[in-house]
Parts: sequence; C-alpha cells; structure tokens
Amino acid sequence: MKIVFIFLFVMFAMPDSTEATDTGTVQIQVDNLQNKKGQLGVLIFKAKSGYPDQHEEAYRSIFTPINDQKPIITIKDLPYGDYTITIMHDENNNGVFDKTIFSVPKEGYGVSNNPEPRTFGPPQFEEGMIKILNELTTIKIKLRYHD
Amino acid sequence: MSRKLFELGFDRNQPQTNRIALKVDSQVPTWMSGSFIRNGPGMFYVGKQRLNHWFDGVGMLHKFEFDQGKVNYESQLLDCSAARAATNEDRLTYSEFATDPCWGLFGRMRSMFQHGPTDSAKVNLAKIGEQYFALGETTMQIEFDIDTLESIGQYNFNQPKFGTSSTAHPHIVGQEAYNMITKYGPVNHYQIRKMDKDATKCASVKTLFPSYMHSFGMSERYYVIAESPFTVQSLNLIAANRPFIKNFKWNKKRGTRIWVIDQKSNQVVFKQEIQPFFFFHFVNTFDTESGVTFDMVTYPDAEVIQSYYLENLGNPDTSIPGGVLKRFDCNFSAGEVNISQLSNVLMELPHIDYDRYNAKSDYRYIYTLSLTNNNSSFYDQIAKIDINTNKSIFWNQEGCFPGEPVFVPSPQSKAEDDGILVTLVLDTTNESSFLLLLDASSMQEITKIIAPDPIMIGFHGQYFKN
Repeated sequence: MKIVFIFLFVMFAMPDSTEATDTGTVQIQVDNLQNKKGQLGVLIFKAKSGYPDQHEEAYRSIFTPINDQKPIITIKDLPYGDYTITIMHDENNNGVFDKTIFSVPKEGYGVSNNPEPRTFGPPQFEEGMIKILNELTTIKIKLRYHD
Repeated sequence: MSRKLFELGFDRNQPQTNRIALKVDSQVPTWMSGSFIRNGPGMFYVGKQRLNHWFDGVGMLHKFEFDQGKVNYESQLLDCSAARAATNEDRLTYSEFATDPCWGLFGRMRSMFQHGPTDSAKVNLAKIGEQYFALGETTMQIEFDIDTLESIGQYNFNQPKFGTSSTAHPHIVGQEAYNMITKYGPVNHYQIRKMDKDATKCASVKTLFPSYMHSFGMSERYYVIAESPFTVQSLNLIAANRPFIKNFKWNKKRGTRIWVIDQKSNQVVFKQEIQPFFFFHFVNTFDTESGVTFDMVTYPDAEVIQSYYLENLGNPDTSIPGGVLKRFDCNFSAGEVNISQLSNVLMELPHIDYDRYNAKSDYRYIYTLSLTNNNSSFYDQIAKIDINTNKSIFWNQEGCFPGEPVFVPSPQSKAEDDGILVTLVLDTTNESSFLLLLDASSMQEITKIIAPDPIMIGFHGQYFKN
C-alpha cells in the first residue's frame, strides 16, 4: 500500500512532459553594428536546409528596427532544441540580404557562436549551432562587413 | 499531370446542365438546407483559340442545392459580356488573366479600350446583404440570382474598367463588404473600398510598382495590405503587347511590404518591408495586444503562377509547388514583425469557418487543399490543420482531385469543427465527379453524391444557407 501511495505521489508530482513549458527565450546582443540604418533580420534555423539566408526555410524569422548601437533582440517561446541563428543588417530596409553577383555579402551579417567565415562562403551550419535548454539563453552575435 | 486529369480537369469546355435531381443515400444530413456553389473556369476553348492559363477560362457556376436530404444539381456559364462574346462570336474579345484576343498590337489596343478586361468573375462568390455575387479580379463583379444562376447585373467600383483591378476576396462585416482595389497610373494606389452604391473609399496607400493582389487582411481594427515583390510597371499594362499577368516580374532586390491601416483613422499605423514571399491568400487576420497578426499561405517566389499555365499542367513530368502556412505577428511599438511557420502541410485554397472565426484570435482549424507529396502534379488531398497542436488529418483517394473544402456548421454547432466539409471532387479513375461530404471533426466520409458529368477543376466555393 505504501509503495502504491509513493508511486501515485511521484506520478502526480512529476511535470507533464506534454505541457507547453519546454520553451525558452533567447536574448541576442548584436555587436559591431556599423551604423543604425535600416533594420535587422534574424533567421532561426533548426535544420541545415536554407541556411544561412533562405528565409522560407527558416523555422522563425524576425524583422526589427535598430534603436541602439548595441541592440538586443529577444526571441520568445523557442522550443528547447538546437538552432543556428543568422542575423543580417538590412541597411537599405528592403527585406533582402543583398549580395554582389559573386555572392559576397553587401550588408553586415553574423552567425551564432561567431564562427570564422570560410574562404568562399559562410561558416558551416554546425559551427553556429546553439542549444536552447533553459528559460533564458543569452548570446552575442558579432556582425561582419565586407567593405 | 496525367493525361486523363488534364483532359477532364482543364483541356476542354464543360457542358451546361439543367437542373437535375441527384441520386443520394440516407446519409445526406436533412438539416442542410441551402446551396453549395462552386465557381471556376468552364471554357478553355473559344473558337480556335485555347486559353493559356488556369485563371483564364470563361467562368461557370455549379450549384448543388440541399433540401431535406435531397440534392439537385445545375451548372451554367456565368452570364457576362465575355461569355456572351465567346459563345456568340466564337472568339475571345476580352483580355483574360494570361490570354489576350488573337489580334495584333493595334487590335489589342482597340480591344482594351472598346471591350476592356474580362468581366468573367470566375474566382469566388459572396453574399453581401441579400445579394449574391460572382467575384473576379477585375472591378466588374456579377450579381446573380441564386435560384436560377442567371445574372442580374454588374457591380463595379465606380472606376474605369481599364486600369483598375480588385481582389477576389472581399471581407464581409455584417451587411457590408470591403474590398481592395489597385489603381494603376502615373501614381498607383491600393484602396480599400466598401462595396456599396458609391464604392466608398475607406483608405488608400501609394505605391511605385504595384503587386499582383489576390486578397487582403482585415481584423476588427485594421486593414492589412501585403505587397509581394511580384510587381508591374503600370505603363507596361498599356504599352506592352502582353496579357495582364505577363507584365508582372519577380523583383529579387526587394522584400514584401506590409501596410497596416487603422479602420477608424484610415491612417497607416505600421509599415515595414520584410523578407520576400509570394501569396494568394490571407487565411485570417486578428488584433493582438501589441498590434495585429495575420496568417497566410506563402511561397518563396511567384513560380506557382507559372505552374498553372495549361502548357505546364499538361506536362506529365511537372509538379506544382505547395504553399506554406506562416504567421506574421506585427508588434507596433517594437516595430517588429515575427514570422513563424504554423504547419508543414503543403497547401492552397485555405478555408476557415469565416462567419464565426474570421478576425478571431482563438480560431484553430484550417481546411485546405493539399499535396500528398512534393511530386504531386496537382492538389490531391484535403487537410484539416489544427494550428494549436500542429497536427493534421487528411482525406485522399487514388485518382481523385478535390476542390476547395467548404465548412458548413451544424445547426447546434458549438465546437469550431462541429459541422460538415463540402467539396467537389474530380475522380479520374471513374471519369466522374462527386460531391464529397466529410465530418469536419474526424474527416471521415459521410457520403458521396455523383454528379452527372465530370466537372472541371475550379476555384472557390461557398455554401449559402436558405
């Protein structure tokens, strides 16, 4: 009887894993912003497909104005898991990550974990992967500009 | 797509059918008392000319009338100037979406100014007050008699026929309807207008390069206009010797612009350019504490329009792209747009319980056409999407191609999905069409009612209660 009681107590005391509580907030501090023109576009990828700038493949995306030289972007309700986050500095406010005909970025960009870009192309998807496992995760993303 | 689907669904003219009683079983709910009407193309051959695009055909109405468990069917070409010219003169005299009359440049100019664009309102249907309308994308909407399907008259937006277009999706608020028109000219405008006697102007925004527009959003407080980068230089609509839609180009150098307009002040309260995408349909738009949220079926670009050319549809090796359901949360004070994907289902022609849940934030279910896989040649299943749980239930059958599912609530309906889905299905295996009734809650079949002929693939349908 005592065992049954303990079992029931444990059952009811355990959090329901199906509850929608397994989400966290990510706060991104954006570093090295060259100017406050335009807006920032944030793309959050769960999978490699579409990384780094194909918005239609992104799990979430956010377009936010620049109010500060070191803006902080808050992303709420992100289910726990692994993500790679990219940021573009959309200086001309056209919603597009502008590149040259050789695919060199015309606008500033950054990737979570701040990995070094490869010689011909962006950092690998895996290099930018971060884990969201807490209610609040704070990261810094440094923007790079190809002048 | 398969040759059979193309031949039955697109590559022909549909015979008209006089009112006929259909064979039914005892499963047809006796509480259904009203008419399910489906709009869409009924003629792709006019004289010797085959029209180019799914959105071109001369419009036809199909009516299934429910009365105490019995069902009558009839179909009729939508009586309008374009249809009369097509049938009486045996040639196309009005400019369609992607097909112009077979005339030279000067003939085309003459055609535009003498006849203008088509008035074949073949896209959608609406009841506004006590009037029933067939709706298209020009400014000419056709009022029809729901008993006979005969045309009563034409509504236009007090605008010139040439140089103005409208969406096919007005929003109905009580006895009033609001629609968005695009006025092309040296300065282009999107205007929200009431569909009343004077076409009262409610709001207006200017744009340099107007976009192709099929719908707009309307919550309780705001109008939402989304301008994709599929745009036109309006001078080309006159000067270039091309059908309407061929003047629109995908502009890779810009995103999609959002305008949110307050309905009280008619002022723009939020404007932002975000990632580029193409869309036909707003699914729902509702107010939030921080601004407004709208759900849409989106595509990365406008290639979907290309895929609807008959030339492409008739190709056995081509597939069509499916749209993706996305939510756009606009936070006015933060100036931020937060975009998230609501479902993995590839979809088009979405439908909600509009009467009860349009502009409501607690809506949960979307009923939509869908693709069974990425290689589907055409929409081959119906999906019910629960946006709260991101779970979906499907109906499909080998060789069958359903039309837009329309929700009909049960008389005592309390739950959002307590009702019936009605859809017209083209069955290529049996070379026939049937009206399919599904339990909207479980997506289980209630009954199938066979139509006298196979019916071509159409667009939107509506159920009008008696």
